[in-house]
Amino acid sequence: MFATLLRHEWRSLSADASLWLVVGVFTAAIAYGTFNGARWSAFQQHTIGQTLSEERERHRKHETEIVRINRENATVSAFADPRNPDAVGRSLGARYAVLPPTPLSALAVGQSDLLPYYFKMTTDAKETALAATEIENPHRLLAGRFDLAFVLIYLYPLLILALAYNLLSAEREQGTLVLALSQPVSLRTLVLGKVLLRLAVFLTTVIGLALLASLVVGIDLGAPGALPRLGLWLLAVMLYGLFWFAMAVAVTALGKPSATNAMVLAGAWLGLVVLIPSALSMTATAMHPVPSRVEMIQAMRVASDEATAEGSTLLARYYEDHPELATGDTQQAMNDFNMVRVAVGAEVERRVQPVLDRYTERLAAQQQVVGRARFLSPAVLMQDALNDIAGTGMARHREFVRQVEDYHDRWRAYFVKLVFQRAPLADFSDIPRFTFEEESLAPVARRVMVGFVGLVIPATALFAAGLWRVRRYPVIG
Amino acid sequence: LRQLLSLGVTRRALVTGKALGIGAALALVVVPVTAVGLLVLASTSEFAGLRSDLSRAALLAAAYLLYFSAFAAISLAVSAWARSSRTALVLLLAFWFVNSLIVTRATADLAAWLYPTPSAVEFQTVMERDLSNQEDIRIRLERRRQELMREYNASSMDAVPINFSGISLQAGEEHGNAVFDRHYGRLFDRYQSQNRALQWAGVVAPMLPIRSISMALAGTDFAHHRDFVQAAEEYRRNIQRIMNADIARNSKPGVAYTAASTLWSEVPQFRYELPESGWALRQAFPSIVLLIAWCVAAFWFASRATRRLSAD
Repeated sequence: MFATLLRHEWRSLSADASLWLVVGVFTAAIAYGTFNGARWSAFQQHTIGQTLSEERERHRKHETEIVRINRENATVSAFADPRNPDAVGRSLGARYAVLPPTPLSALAVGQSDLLPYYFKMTTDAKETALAATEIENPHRLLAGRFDLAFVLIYLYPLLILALAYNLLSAEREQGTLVLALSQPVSLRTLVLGKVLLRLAVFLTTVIGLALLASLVVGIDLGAPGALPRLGLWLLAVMLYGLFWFAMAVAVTALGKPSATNAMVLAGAWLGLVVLIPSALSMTATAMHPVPSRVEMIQAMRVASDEATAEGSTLLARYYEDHPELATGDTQQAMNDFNMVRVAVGAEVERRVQPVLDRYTERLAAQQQVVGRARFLSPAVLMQDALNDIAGTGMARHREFVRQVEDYHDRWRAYFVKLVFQRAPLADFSDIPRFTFEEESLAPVARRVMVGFVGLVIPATALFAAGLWRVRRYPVIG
Repeated sequence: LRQLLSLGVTRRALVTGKALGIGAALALVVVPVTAVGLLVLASTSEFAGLRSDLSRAALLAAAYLLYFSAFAAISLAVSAWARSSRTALVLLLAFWFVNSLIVTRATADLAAWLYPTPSAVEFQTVMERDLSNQEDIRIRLERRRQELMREYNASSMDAVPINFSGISLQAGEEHGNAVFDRHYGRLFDRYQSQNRALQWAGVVAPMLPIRSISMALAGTDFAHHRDFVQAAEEYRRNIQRIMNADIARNSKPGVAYTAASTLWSEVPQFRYELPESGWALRQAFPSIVLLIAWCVAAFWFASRATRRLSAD
């Protein structure tokens, strides 16, 4: 019986021109979205390549310069001297710390267009050394990207709703519902059959197309972690689709005419996908505003003026804090420009720290608000999950910044030691390097699963409510 | 509808009446809100003159009026043209969705594809290469030095009452400025090409022209930003000129020099004037044309659909 039902549904569905239109539009959107994501991913790869070759060439140039200076016994200004550890640490020897895109990053641009994916490491204060942005037209940042995640979050539910909003009401309005029910079939089985068929059609289309598109743009499935991530991605797409089908079932079960169903569902989509997410971020910024950039710059300027004035006094204190750096001749060190600079820099950072702390604290508070409230909107949950899976979300970026901060400490320690030992550099190969330690899959999966729970619970509830309510469905309009 | 038409009401009158009805209902909400907004604006406006604000606000109101009437006309047209209200609803929802969500993203990506911008690393590397190429200024400075020595009939720079480091600082500054102007100019031109492409993409959806127009009138678009950046940069260069001239005139080589406190009073205050509203409109010219075109097309479509309006 159920098989007959499915077969019949399939016949009437495939005879409907709107299904093919929907599938056509969707195919185009998926293709364009994947293409865009892949282009961004390739751009990132290309840029990373540029950073590495820039670094290599600069280092080679300075190393030849060292050889020349030593051979000719030439004099160069301290700022341009590639043997001077201070100058090298500050600019000449800078290395890049790079966050490579994951194999799946073409599937969701996420926040990777807002958050820097490479830093030029120097001994400068963290706020300066860790400030970097990619060049981008503000218009594009304002609009956001047309990537696969956008298609899945915005378009996919709309198309589901377009297919399912008149699940029963159309048959009732055409009078065929009574005829169908005159057969030995319960209304519930009928609904289930209709939903399952549409779900099957839809999931096959979406997943098939997305996989095809990803293979065409050249996503490397053999890369470590790619397959499990792809599995999570498929699961996310299925659960999100289920949620919207459940929503459609629950609304149809109320027994209203098709037009009302369409209005209610369109409203639900507008609220959950468009309004709540933007309201969320606005509320978070309004509740915990971050201090302005001007305040930060002011604080740094005051601190650096005061610290520079104290100069060598600070160096004496610095020695007290770091006795391991003391060499025999402290008196001479007091007049050493480089050492005083190190001490002054440390003091400026100490004084600016409160402003920075406040900034981080506010940001954390904002994220906490969003982290809790995101369960209000399946779209936000889905976006977070997709970003996390593609490795373009906040969590991976935070991990990157944490590792870069460690690297900054290592970098500094290396050069400060050379400055205090007055040891000239001979070549650049010993300068610390950075490699990103990829996050293991377990925490990613755990975070994504929490989001999935937030999708499954409302989906189940809506579906159950729909099936329960459908008992009282007015078969005749 | 059949009953209405049987009363002898012309189709045109019917649709015009409906349009005015919708307009009045919306105006009831929109007008008071706008008035309150204007009052708030008037009481907080302190930067530019109130007059400039008001002319911008009036233009903005006119633009939105066009946008909303285009929307109203499209809605009427679709509802007259579609056979059932269901089709009309679906069509209009689809139109709204494409207009406000799809088009902005898709066109921004397309514009970036047409006019690609370099990566930050590439931009920086090329610019630094140009900055460090100082052969030209070295030659120019040497020539200037000879000139000065001839002018003062001196055999060495020590006898010239001008500190040469002021001149060489200024020369370095000007070299940098030329390089910055070239590179940032090219980048900003790229952005503007992208934005112009975005404006012409308004053919596809009325959302794009109204967005450009409202940004231009509110002074928050890229053209205004560029104008401001240019003014600020000019101001900075002026400070450099004054300071370097002072070094050249008053300091002695090898002697620590502290300028008199009056030096800073020679530096004028930074004053930035928002460009005129006419300038703002010129920035958004393609958008204005397209918005009017949308409006005309929408009304034409509406009147055609009305003529074919059948009673069943």
